[in-house]
Amino acid sequence: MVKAPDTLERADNSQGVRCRMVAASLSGKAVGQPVMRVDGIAKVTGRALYAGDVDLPDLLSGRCLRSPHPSARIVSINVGKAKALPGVRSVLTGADVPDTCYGRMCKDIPVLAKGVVRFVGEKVAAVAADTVEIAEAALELIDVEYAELPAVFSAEEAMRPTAPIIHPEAVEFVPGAAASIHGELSMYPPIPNVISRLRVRHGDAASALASAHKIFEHSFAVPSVHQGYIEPHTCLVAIGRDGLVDVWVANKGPHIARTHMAAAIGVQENRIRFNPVAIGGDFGGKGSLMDTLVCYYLARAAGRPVRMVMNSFEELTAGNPRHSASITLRTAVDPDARLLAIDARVIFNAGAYGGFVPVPTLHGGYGELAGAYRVPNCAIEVLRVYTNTVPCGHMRAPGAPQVTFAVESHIDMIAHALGLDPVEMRRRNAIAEGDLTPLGEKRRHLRCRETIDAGARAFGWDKPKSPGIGRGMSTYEHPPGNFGLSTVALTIGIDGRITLTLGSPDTGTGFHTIAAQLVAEHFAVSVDEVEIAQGDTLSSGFEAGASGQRLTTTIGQAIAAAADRMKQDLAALAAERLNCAPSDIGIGADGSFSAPGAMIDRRTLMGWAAERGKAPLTCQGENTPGRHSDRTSFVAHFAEVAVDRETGQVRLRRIVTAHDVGTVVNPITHQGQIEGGLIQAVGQAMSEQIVLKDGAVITAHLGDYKLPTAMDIAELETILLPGGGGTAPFSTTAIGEMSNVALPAAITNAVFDAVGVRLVELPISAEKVLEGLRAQASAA
Amino acid sequence: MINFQYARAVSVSEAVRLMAGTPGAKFIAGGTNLVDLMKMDVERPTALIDVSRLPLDTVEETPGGGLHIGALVRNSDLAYHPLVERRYPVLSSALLAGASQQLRNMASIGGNLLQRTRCAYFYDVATPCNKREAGSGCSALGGLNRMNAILGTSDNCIAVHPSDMCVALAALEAKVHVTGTRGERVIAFADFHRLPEAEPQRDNNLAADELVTGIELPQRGFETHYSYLKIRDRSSYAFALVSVAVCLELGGGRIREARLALGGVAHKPWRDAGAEAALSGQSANEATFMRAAALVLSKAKGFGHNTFKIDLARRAVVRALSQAAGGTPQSQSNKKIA
Repeated sequence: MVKAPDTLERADNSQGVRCRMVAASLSGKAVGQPVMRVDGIAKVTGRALYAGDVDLPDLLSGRCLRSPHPSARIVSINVGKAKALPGVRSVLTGADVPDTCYGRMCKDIPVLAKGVVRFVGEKVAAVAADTVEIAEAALELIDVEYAELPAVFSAEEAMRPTAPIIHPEAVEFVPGAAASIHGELSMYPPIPNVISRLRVRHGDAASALASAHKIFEHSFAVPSVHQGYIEPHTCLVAIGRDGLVDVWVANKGPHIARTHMAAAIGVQENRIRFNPVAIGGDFGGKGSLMDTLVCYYLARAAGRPVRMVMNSFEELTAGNPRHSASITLRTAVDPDARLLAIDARVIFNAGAYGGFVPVPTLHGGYGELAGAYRVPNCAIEVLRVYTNTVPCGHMRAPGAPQVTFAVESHIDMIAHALGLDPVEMRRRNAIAEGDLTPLGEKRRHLRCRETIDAGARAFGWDKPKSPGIGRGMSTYEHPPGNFGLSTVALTIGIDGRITLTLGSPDTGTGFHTIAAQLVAEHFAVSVDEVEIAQGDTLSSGFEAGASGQRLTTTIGQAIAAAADRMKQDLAALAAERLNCAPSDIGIGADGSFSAPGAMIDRRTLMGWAAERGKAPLTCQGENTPGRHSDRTSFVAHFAEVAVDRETGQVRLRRIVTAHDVGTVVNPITHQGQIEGGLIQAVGQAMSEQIVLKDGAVITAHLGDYKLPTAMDIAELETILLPGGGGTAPFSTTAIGEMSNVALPAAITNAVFDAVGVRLVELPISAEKVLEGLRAQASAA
Repeated sequence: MINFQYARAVSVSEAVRLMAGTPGAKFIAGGTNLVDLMKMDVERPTALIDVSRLPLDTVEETPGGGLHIGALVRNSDLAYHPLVERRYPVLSSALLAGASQQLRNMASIGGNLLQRTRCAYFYDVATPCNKREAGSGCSALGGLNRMNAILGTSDNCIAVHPSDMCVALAALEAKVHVTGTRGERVIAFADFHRLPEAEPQRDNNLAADELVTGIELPQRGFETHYSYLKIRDRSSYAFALVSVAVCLELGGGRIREARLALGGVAHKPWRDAGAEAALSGQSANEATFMRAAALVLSKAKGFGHNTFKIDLARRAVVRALSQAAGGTPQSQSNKKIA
């Protein structure tokens, strides 16, 4: 076997990006190589099939009528005129669909509103017609009489004893899903409108706070933002004559979605087939069924297949955006600025329904609270609260960006109050080998300080700067996800080519390419010899889907298991052909099989096996989920801004991002994840906000909901700390949710450094900066 | 979207005749605003009269030393036209500050003039709006009005004219050439757009059958001392919170002539003769600029969420005047820095 050099170094300064990576014992053909995307040509030439591209005979278009009120009783609905419109094939209201509610954890979302509406944009009626235009014309002919009810929009107000109760009836939830990894979890505790309350304690925060040298308390607010994927929620349902329900949907986890759909519509799982489609961006937002159930009922009523595509107005007003949050932190420090205790209260505004999220507490909302630091005492309370606003869902590291904005601003504020440099404050408190996490967990390979130092060095933290220029940093820690079942099948054909069948779509991250590289590496072949087959839910094994930066880890393990079996089977075949013991067989650098004094290439071997009825050969592989990875990763961001004191405008000039990584499977997609995540974070920091007035979304147009443009993006330098240590095959870790979380605080910390204005509420705006300057001037 | 008729005009006279004979019709050229409004159900024209193929797409020098710009010249083409870049850089700068590259490639000059005023409630058909439905009420007055007007408002409407190009044209004192069934006429730029007063449904003073055929720029382009400053939430595809166009003529350390127009603050590009007069003959220094800025904003009125714009506009006026007086070079292709 050819051994790859232990260290691979790459330099590409054309984009201001520096990459360094380390890989041990790799073939040099697959893992670690900048392989082009396996689905790239199909996507750029328009051949990739998205749910909206699927066409079927007699296909109808479905549209929904939505509530204009945040809280109202439906007095009556008259659909007579809509039904009479030529071209209309089915019209449904809440009365026409079963009472079942849908949800990934809290089963609280009706297919169509039943008697009451709880947010502006809730689906009240649905129409399937020959064209979208006819369906929309029919919606205008539906008369709904509402009796408005009191509504509540802020989570804090919703918890008051006098608040209107948004779900007075008991809500069913999946008991297994509500099991908590940490602390004490109560579902629907006796606080008005609270879905869940989690209390996690490690050490004795109360005592530490009571006797501390100094205590700091600050509150922060983060607004709701949209995932910003290009492809809107799209689904298509066709019911066959044999009753088989065929579904094409933009969903990141077809197997789980199929399970939820089966439970909701009362059809067996094996009578529903989710077909493979490409996904035009997910960022966590494509994990729910969204319109799929109403689409199913429309198709059933019309006896024809139905397609539903949300438009951008619906996406921005009634998608499943990131939760807004308010966070209060109380922290005790000793005279050396060492963190002694943190007491955190996090309130997530869940909107009118809780069913779009699969966990009771937004996981990252507490799991990584201050995870980069050594904090011996910690008390965390996390609440998710119903309000009469758009129901929130998952978005890239759910909960973590909100909480990390608070923690990383708070640490900076403490450093400033103590007269300490922000980097020194973090270095002094950085978690190190042997420390427990704030939640009391053991982790290894703790390179927090090294990550901060590498970033600070590249950034030139200590270099002089001009007036009006500010510098800030932030850090974050997060392990790869190792939960949920992954099942794959490897097939080696009679031509020697290898096919990986898996149940996960590529949501746009490049995961299919990563999977092909992992397969190729096991057999020391080039990626060109591997095909990726995304199976439907009947033909592929169970796959929990993209979530919590898990795929490279979980599918990586499943691929390794299948490859091991395949190698054993191939070795047995080769041994039979070469007349030796299977243990004598080696795999060559060219993918051939060798025995002492003999050799056979894969293709010849498979041809020989085929003649004996032993090819093609298929092997299954599964992962062993459940145990949280103890190898975590750190990231440190450094931002430089220019702040205009006269106009309040903040310009982001430069970002340095330092990442503690394992083996980088593909430097292109790896860098893509880092850059994409950072840009998403620039949006959250500087311009994105779902603005609501009396529960109605005002920023309902992509001109008003301001995603960052290419011109808003700063110069970027990426530092990768080599070192591996990953627990997944080939020592990989995860990158998907590392870059998008902590950057906003680095930017607001930089604004503070520039002009002394502390922004505790995102996003940054000219008026917030000017208001801060004015307050500063009047205080002076 | 509802059904509508469509006709393509082959001449200006035919376009005008079709419009006069079709109640509820609209002209369409680039369509960057109208199609959006139709999709949002704000505009429901009975017919679209396509004027995009009319021969109004040239930029020509006039005998008086100015420039005549056909109404169908694309925003991008005008921004990068050598004569405009050289002689009217404030116009080029304003054009490039507007919309996005894709929109500028589609949008016509005439359409830019005729884009509807902006207000979140005008676009949200579920809410009352006097501009959409006279007498129904103004939701912005007590609503989320961060982007709304602070000058020239009425109790009926606080929408803003969002154009960047028009702010520069106001400062340059352009003229608008229009043709209707009763013939051609020329409208001074200051008289083209109007304030909401009691009729917010009307954005400008065109007659129903009139078509904008071109814009005339006078000979003076203020190519040495100018500025177009735009303050906004992101660097592209965002309307101004406040924008300022300044054109100055300096001599002997004093301001001989000053033109000052604001965008994003009123129902029309906002000029203030008093402030311009206060600049004229004075030293080009900060005290002068602050006096002028205070004059412009002396009658400004905030409505809560947009009150910050009064002070922001004052600061922006001072900044733009300073930039213009200093002859600060402005990048025409990179508007990242205001």
